[in-house]
Amino acid sequence: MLKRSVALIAASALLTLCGCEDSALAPLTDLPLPSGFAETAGQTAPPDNALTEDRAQLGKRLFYDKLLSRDQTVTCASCHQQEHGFADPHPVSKGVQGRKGKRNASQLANLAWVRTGLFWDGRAANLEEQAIKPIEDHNEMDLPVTEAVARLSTHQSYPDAFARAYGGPPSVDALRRALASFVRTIVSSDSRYDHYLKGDTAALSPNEKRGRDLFFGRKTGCFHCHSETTLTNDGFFNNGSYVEGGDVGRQTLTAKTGDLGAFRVPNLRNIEFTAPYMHDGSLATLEAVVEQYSRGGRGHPSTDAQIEPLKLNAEEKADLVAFLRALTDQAFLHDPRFRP
Amino acid sequence: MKGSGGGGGGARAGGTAGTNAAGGGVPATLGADGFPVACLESPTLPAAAQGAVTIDLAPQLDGKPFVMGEENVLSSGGTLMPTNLRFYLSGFEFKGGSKKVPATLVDSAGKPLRYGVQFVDVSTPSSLKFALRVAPGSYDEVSLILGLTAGCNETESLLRSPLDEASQLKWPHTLGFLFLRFEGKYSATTDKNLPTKIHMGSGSGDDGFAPKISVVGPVEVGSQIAQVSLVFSVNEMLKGAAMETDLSKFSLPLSAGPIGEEILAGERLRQHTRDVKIFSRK
Repeated sequence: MLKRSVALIAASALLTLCGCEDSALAPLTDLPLPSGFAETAGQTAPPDNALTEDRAQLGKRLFYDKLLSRDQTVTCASCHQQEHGFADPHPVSKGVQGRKGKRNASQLANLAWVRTGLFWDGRAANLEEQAIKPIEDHNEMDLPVTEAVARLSTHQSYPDAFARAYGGPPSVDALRRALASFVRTIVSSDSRYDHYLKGDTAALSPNEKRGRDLFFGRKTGCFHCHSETTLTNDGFFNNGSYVEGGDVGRQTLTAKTGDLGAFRVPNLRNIEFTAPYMHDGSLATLEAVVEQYSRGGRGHPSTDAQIEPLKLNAEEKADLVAFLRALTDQAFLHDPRFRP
Repeated sequence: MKGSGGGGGGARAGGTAGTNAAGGGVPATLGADGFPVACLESPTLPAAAQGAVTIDLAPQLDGKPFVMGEENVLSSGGTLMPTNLRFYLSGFEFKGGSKKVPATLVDSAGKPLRYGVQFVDVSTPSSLKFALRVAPGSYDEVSLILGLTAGCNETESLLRSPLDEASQLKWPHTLGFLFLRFEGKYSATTDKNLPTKIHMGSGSGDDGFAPKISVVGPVEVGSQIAQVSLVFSVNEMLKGAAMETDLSKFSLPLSAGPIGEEILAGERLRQHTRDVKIFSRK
């Protein structure tokens, strides 16, 4: 009996290691085509990193592995938590030894379609480039990527997983590609708003519909940055959150006067659960976000020309918040395929 | 931006004439704007289009390079700091005498661009230089559409870059796109007519089509790559967007609320594109 138990435990451990512990689950690469999108997330993958199940599963395993942080206390998932839409519930993230980062960790849903630079300031050209930056960042995982590869290379089972996914031993390139592959599978497209887009007009309540009309209407012009299907226009704008002496954002990269306080326009998928908001996590609630836009930002002269006081009344503010909550995709937030 | 069923959207029935962009002798259904109704994702190169042309676009303000994200000094006083200037170009034609020849936008490998559209983001210098293929010959005029053909503006298909939301030109609720988008900020200027935002699309006023522009100047297309340098005059764009226009018939299929100043500025520009000289030979 004992022998049988040990064998079962061993088998369970082995299955966990290979990332295929629950065969009842659909493959990570079984990806929906969100309404209004011309191609699946898999089709957005670069030719040298075509999306496969082995690659995505390897990436998921790495995403949840403390091995990739210097003191083996932090994972990618420490700051990108599924139940929070793969965002961080803290204003700024905590890395190894409790070090605090500078910005709020962005949500990760639907990044497959982003083409204009990732991170709040757009410093990474694509998912493959983005993937290893947090590993090396002093305030995050603080592990030289070569050291990460060395750890993976001497690990009991990673070399086999890399061989299956990329046909060779762990390497920097394979590490970045695997992590990118997993992130590419993080697709959210089953909110009530998505159902509404597909023609189910009953999917939104009356106040959510009013909020939607406001959001995509002339009075607020929210749609200028948050487009109808992707909910972002992939641009970089100063949305009025900048305060004098604060984080200059994209200007760090471009040195342009006009990029002072400009940050990436985030998509709003699951925004109800990705609080706190803005690049600095300075707004705790959706109500506070709507209030800031209603005021026209915080008043710094660098604020983009599109940000103007909206002078929303209480009902309009409530309707907008209701619409934003309709972007919640419960199935995504609880999808067991994304769990370790 | 699609019309709401008025003049902009109502005149799309068109007829059948000429050949389509594929150049294979297949009759193409033409819209009222004179361009194919279909928006082909993968246009093919007409066999006759053997001549190569490179176009350099130079945005200028008061005759000086227009620098995005920086203070550009206005001759009238004050400065303009542009934060966004992007537009589509399509429908290129070369004219020589009475002959008008369609030109095909191509990438660096000579492959026709998706949908036959050049997306220009002035913040991205590489988008200011692009290539065409056209039949060899002597031409004295280049014409282009500042925006999209009706076929591409109104297609119901799901489209890919550059006809997508990441272009920042996709319009919600409707099928279409803005043709041009400008945003900027002025300081220390006394000119109250300068628009801070211009969103030009096709509303229901007037004909609703993207403006077609002719640029006069000789182009010899032969065995060598012909170079054509064009100036994009920001002054003329701002001027057109501030010109007096009867907008009483202009409407948009959007939800309640006043039509934004940026849309009105865009419609003024659309209707007056022929009265200003946005593009000229360098």
